[in-house]
Amino acid sequence: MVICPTCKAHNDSKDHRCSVCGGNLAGARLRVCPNCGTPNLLCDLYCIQCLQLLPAAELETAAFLKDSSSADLTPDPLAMVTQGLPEARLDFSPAQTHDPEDSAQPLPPIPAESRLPALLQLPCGLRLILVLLLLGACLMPMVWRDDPQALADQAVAEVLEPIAPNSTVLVAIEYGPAYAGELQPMAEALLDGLTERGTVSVLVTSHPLGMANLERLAAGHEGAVNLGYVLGGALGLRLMYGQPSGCMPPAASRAPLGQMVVIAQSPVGVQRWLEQVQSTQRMQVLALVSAQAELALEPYRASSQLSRLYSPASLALQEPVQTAQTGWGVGLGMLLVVIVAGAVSICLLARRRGAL
Amino acid sequence: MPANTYPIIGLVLTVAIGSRLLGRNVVFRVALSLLLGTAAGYGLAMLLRGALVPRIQLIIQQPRQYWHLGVFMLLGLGLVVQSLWPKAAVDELPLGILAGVVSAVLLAGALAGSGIPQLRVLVGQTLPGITTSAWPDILRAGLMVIGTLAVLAAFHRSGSSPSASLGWLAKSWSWLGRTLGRGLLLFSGGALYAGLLMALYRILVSRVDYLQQTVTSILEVLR
Amino acid sequence: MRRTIYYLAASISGLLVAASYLVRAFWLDQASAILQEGALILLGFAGIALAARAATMVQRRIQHNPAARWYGGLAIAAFAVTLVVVLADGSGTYSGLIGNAILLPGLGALAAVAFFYLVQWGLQLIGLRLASAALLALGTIAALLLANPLLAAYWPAAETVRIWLIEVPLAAVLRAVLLGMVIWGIPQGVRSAIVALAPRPSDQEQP
Repeated sequence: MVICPTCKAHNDSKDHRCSVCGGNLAGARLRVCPNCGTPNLLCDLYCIQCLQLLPAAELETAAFLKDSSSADLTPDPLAMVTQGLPEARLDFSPAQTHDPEDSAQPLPPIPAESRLPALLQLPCGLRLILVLLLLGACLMPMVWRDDPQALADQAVAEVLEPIAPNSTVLVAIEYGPAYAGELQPMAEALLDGLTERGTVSVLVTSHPLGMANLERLAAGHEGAVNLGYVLGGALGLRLMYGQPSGCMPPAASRAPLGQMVVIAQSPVGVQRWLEQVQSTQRMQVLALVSAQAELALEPYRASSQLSRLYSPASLALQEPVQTAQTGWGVGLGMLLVVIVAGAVSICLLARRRGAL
Repeated sequence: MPANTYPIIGLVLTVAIGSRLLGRNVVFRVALSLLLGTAAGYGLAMLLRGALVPRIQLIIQQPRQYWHLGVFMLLGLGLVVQSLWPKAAVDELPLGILAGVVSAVLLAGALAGSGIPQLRVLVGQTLPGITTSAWPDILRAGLMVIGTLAVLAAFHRSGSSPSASLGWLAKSWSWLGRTLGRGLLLFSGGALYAGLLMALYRILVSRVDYLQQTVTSILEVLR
Repeated sequence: MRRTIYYLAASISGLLVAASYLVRAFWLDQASAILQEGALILLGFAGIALAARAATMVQRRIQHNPAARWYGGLAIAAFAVTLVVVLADGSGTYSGLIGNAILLPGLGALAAVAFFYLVQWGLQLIGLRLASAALLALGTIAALLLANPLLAAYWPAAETVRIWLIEVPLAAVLRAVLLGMVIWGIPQGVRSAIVALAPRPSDQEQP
């Protein structure tokens, strides 16, 4: 049983949200360290007190009995990672079948300095170096004056090479505003490249927030046709493009089904086009995706369902662009140093404390 | 509102969200509430504009041809009524149709667009690997087939320990999954994590670049 | 009775739509298209129902938690204003403002902040002195090294190694994951969703 921190209602231990008020129950679940008995959040891998690796089975429940008014209305997942346990006092009920008020036991006091996750328990100097390296890595592309146009030109050259001039191409904008920083410059360059070839771009999205990017692209390219948002993800695409006798709305019937470019943030954005449209229409699909999606889509490229597959990260490796991406390369190197140095330090610290 | 105010609003919002790195604060919580509310409203507006408005127009313009859309509209109203009055009991038919159609589209699409083509590639890679005489091709095909089977074995055997009663084939299958399959899965997990890091790193760089450009342009205007 | 109607409707509509992927028949295509069109409309209404339910929940939480009413109020106000403005905006001026001035920078900044937490989470995971963590670290380090254009510029063979790793072992793993998803993951997910969506028996039906 889990007691809701907001309204004190009793919920099943499998519930993620309160059945009465809908409050988030994630913060009310704790893992108790078998070594020192300290309560930890479910997302913690180590004990915040002794750095012991926490076993998955030590799931217990807790209630915030006091000061529940300080709980936030919009729960912030990041807070769980950075702040460890909330400021509110906790009450701990180990027996799941008993009434929590009867079996409540007071928790041991948690020292303020140990409410931090493992990384922030590193020695101050090392922590400072790691944070400075991370911040420095973000500035590297500006310091080395990387040329974003070189990357965009490479995207146009590689992705659009198989597209015939003076044709019509369907361009699916399958990314939300969060990924615009990574993909929007490429999308702009691709549309410019298509316009230069005399090709008509027909823009469409099945991402709920993709319209914010699509409208911006359509506004910057007068020749582009804006089909707008296709509701329902896979269902909407199947109905509009995949089903020969589907009730196509007038705008959708203008969409060409010979060749298309998908610009996507996640593998799902490309998969749904391949599964619902390409499998029935046998069209040529080219994909420009976020670095996080490229690897997951490799099987589709190997099976020739995707004619081309690129991400900004793999385009930066192409020979003509390499020299214009020095800052990106230095930044990635610094990131690698942070990961190796940080992981080794945490490992050594845990060993010194005898937890591992 | 003039278009040149967009960057200023964006700058304030970026700084407010970025202030989360300094700790949880009021500015961040206000910006987050505003952002979540706006994103939810925008998403719902797109949904209404994409699904309902054009179809209502169709029913009004050509009622004889599109009368069936009206039936679904009435069924859809049942869903809304049910959410407002839980005792109404009018949502079973629309929920059933929705669940059935969406499940069928997802399952059949995954099978036709992912399952069958990938199985075909798996078989297609194995056969030329057997029939060819070039060693690199044989090695490549062999590695791919063993890798795929090992990971499938890891899924199949996850959570179960090898029992003495199993035959040698089952034991080998289990061993393949526990060792090679699990190892390959972890290695790929690391590579996928690196991909996510690179994507977010590029977004971070673009945000820093945006801040620098906006501040520079504001300073130029002030001069 | 309610559950019977639900499962009957789900089975009939699901079978008709699934059959349209396998069999080419005019009447089947028509029936499937009508059902899909209807499901899209129902999806729109489900969105409205979900929004109504979410608003009710936020309202209840504000009642239970007065300290958070300002943030909740702000979120609801932003939601309502955006909904009305985008729906009423025929020219796209104000929806463009919301997209360019709020969503693009705001969600982008949120993703940028998430980068720091992702690094921290990865360090915690890789810092475990276990064989599995070492393999995970090896994958991360190899991917970050081989994606570096500086390494590719000074050691051209790096690109060959990267392509081999992607096309042979990683493609094999990801193909297996894909097949696992199609064979087991998606059917299980769909089954759970259908059971979760099933209406609860009404008071009269309960024994």
